[in-house]
Amino acid sequence: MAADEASVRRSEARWGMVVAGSVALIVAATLFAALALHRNPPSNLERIDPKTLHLTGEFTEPNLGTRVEDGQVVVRVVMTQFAFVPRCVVVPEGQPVTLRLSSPDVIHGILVTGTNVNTMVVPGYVSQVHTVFRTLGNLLMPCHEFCGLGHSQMLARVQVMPTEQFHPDAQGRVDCAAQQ
Amino acid sequence: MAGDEDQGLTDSDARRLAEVPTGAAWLAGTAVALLVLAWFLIWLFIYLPRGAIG
Repeated sequence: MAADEASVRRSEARWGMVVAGSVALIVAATLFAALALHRNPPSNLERIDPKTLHLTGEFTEPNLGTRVEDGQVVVRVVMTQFAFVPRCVVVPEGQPVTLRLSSPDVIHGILVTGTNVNTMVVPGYVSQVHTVFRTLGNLLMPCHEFCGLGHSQMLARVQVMPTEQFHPDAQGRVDCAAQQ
Repeated sequence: MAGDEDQGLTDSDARRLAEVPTGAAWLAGTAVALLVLAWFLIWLFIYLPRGAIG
């Protein structure tokens, strides 16, 4: 015998409550992470002129890569069609690292495998991410926003070193070649 | 003619339909429970330990 209309309606109402409960549970976990644990997406809002990005200011070539500034490790990378400049950066394990990225041409995006680092890189803005790398070795850092025909070739490497092997030079710079 | 016969239903179809609310709820409930569980496992054991980036 087929189920009557009333029992179908009751089962649909119960199912609606199950779905609403599941969504509420996930929203509650997300809000808890955001408000209590401060796990928010990167939200740095900082303008920069993309036309002069590589000519003046913070993202000129001598400033790119890893630097230790007042004890803080800062990594600056320019993402351009279709390369990272530089293609490899060194970071120490277990220390706070600030990644600052910008683009002179089109929208790019980065992630670093095995970490929560994940952000868009939009021309005209500086994207900034704070993180602590806890895995030693080479981590892949690809562009994850389709940026043109060479997008699939756009890769970089994050080399995570033990703190005792992380040696900045006199200018506070550390690069991959010096570590190898 | 009866309604069931008008729709071409046999007695066997009618018996299966009678179990639809319970059977469908069990199937959908199990599928959704597995998805929600997978979401929480990833959230708890991958997302949270990787730390804040903001």
